[in-house]
Amino acid sequence: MSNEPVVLYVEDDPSSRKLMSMLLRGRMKLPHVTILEDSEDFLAHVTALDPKPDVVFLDIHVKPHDGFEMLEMLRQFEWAATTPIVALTASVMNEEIQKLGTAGFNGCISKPIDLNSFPETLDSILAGEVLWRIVN
Amino acid sequence: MTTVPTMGKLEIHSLNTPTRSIWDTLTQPASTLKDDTKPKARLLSAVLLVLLPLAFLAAFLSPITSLLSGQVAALPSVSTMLSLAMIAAGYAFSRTRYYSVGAWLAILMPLAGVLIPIYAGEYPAGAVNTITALFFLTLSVTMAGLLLSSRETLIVGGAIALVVLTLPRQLADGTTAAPYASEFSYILITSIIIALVGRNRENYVRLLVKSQSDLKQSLTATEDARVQAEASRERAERSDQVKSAFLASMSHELRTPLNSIINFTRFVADGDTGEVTEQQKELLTEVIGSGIHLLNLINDVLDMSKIEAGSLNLFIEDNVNLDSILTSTLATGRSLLKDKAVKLEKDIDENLPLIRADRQRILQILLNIISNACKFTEEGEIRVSAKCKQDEIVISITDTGPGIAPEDEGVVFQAFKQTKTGLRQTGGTGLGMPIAKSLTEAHGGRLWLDSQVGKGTTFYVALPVKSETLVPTLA
Repeated sequence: MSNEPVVLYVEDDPSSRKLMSMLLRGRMKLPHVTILEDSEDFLAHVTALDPKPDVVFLDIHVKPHDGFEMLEMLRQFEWAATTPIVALTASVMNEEIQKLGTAGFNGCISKPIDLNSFPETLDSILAGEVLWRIVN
Repeated sequence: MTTVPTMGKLEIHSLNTPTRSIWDTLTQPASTLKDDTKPKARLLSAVLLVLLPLAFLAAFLSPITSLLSGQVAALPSVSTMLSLAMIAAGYAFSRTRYYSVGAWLAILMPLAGVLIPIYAGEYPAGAVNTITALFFLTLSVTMAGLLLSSRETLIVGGAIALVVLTLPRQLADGTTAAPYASEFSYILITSIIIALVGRNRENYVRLLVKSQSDLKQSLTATEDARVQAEASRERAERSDQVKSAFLASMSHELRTPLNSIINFTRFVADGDTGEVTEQQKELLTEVIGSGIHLLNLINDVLDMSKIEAGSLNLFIEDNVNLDSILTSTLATGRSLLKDKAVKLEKDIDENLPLIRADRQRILQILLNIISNACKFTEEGEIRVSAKCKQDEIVISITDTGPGIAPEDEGVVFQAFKQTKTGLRQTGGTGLGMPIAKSLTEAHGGRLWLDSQVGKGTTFYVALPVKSETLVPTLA
């Protein structure tokens, strides 16, 4: 599993989606990567996900349901109870980070992401580490 | 404007009784009266309220006692009944806005009690008791003095004196004598005295009313000032909130495209999309470098704005490992030195305690200082040391750079200012050191420098190991 983790990513910015696709599918060659376009896409597909994700990255400023609402919905699923759910956001004010922490996110990665250190970061997250990478 | 109703309450009730007594209720003047007539109306009501049972007794005591002792009861005289009616009517009027009618009734009542009996011949010839008459007439003048203005008092007094002068003075033997000349002068002098006293009293009341309204005005003014101060404080807070919200959204909006610029370029430069020539790679690396520089500028400007707005919040964690932070900043420092003949040495205590701090901010502080040292040092060495002293850790960064002149030492920590040497260097926002200082102080620490021109500079960062004022954000 840790060699080929199943990744779910919800992001409404097309460039960010393309970027993560190039990174996860292209560079890291992960076979099970699902990238959803917005929260409606998320609602339509989240129940049918197979295999179940080992890690979830959520953008926060998504409409109509933001990252916090998606997090809440995900936690309802049995498989997602302990799955690391990490915010991937361009909002890096500490007020927001604090909200993420209290809402129950397992960490936060700020945009722009660091391509070189991302594989290592992903490993840490899968190992259960909670990271609050705010400044890049 | 919350104190104004309280003021009104204080006026209506006496100061020490929160609830109204029966007496207060019975003498309560009409609310439509002017403030300065209210005390007069209350006085009139009170006097008449006391007089009413007394007059009643005086009028009916003799008929009742006669009746009880089996004699034929003589009804009270016309003047007694009239006086009684005037007192009752005067009281009734004193409670309404026709207070002045009540006042005139009260003034005319004693007069009626004297003049009517005389003209109606109620008394046997010569029975008019001079003292009684004088008492009643003086009472009229006194009432006028209390209830009317001093000019009106004089008019009433003069009129009464003239009446007295024209009263037929019948002697016991039926002959008419000289008018009441001495009584005339007595009444006149009494009215003048009362009018004078009344005028003083009026002035006093006027002053009292004025000072009361002045007080009310100044209370209102104070309250207005307080309300205004409150409003401007709220405005300032709102604008701080708007500023914070703007910064948050600007940060978000700028970082999203930078994510694409930096990382897509990196994909191409790294050859993910196919081979690139050395020249292409070099140019793409320039794009990445500029992107990162722009990102740093955005971060610095945002930080500085947050510091200036007082809205910088630290993300405090317990057990932050300073050693690993120093190691990663030294790695960055080495990459900055490239092929310069500068040695980067570290001298860190082996058992540095874990500290309570904002990990990213500590990294930022040290990175700012170390990258400055690397930028400005052309040869020699940069030594980074960390020592634990009691409950604080002192980190020092010593370089063999150009040094900072004493007059420039203050400038180093001022936002948007760079020293002459700093200006010669490209890059940098001039915000790094002020931010580092603010961040250190936000941790309850200190940042200072020690420098000699031509020899080098040492920056010191002292951080508390476990500051009680810092609370872990996600505790």
